[in-house]
Amino acid sequence: MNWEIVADVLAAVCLLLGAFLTFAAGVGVLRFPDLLARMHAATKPQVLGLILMLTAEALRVRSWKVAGLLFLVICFQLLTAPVAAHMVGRAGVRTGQMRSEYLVTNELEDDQNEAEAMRRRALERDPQVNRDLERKLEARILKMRAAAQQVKELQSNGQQGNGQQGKESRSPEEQCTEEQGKEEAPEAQSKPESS
Amino acid sequence: MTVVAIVCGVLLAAAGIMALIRAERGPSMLNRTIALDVFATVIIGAIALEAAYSKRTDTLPILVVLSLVGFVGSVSIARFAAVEPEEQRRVRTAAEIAHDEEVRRRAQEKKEQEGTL
Repeated sequence: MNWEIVADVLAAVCLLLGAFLTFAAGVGVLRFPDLLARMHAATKPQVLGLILMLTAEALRVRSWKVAGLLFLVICFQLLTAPVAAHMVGRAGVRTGQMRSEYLVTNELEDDQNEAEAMRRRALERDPQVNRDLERKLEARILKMRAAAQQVKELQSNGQQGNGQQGKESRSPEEQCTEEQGKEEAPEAQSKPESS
Repeated sequence: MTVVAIVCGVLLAAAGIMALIRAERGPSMLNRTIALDVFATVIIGAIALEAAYSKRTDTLPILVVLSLVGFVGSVSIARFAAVEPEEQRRVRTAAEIAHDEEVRRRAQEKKEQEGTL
């Protein structure tokens, strides 16, 4: 048998398989219920389907130059598809676009629950920690307010009617509120993200 | 080979249409991103199919470029994904767009009138 006919038949089989995988991805993306399931369907033609179709093209064209370039395309796709899928999946979980009832196991949520429980236990065991933290925070806020007041007094004693004065006298307050926000941030962070 | 090409073309076209339907329905940016990823794969497959059918090699650079550009698009959308309110997730109908435009225009006119008074 002529080897060119064999190559053509192999190419035809590869093309059909690749097209079928792409078709399956289309059905999956349209009919699957949530983001993660759709991502699962969408990865099929991105790797195996693409490899099959490009192999078919290489088998048809039969030139090493073309085969090298097609190999490059496959390499790019293998490098980029997992990264893109990871980014999309992470963004989906963070913006709460997955449905927990479809998951067999959700280790992220388990870890978050465990961390929350640990935090609560630590607080129960030693309420002093919490009180100390609050006292420290209060002292810092008072210090900030005093500093802001001082700056204001200095400004009112100094030049008046300056165009910049309004802006400057407001800035210490802003700084103060910013600092308050920063102080409160660690507490908010210790709570697990609600997903 | 012609029969194979036609069958593959029909399968690819069906996949592309279904991906576009999902891109229209949403219901969020990330779902659309996935659908457009699939659509880009369909385009790559179609170009590969055409090149395999007619044994041409001048479309190869397009494949290289497409395999890189699809990645950039989906990663940048995922990077800026935010929690979207339910009513912002779908494509608005023409009537809704007209209504929103009208509200916005009235608010602007009101603001301008207040500015002149």
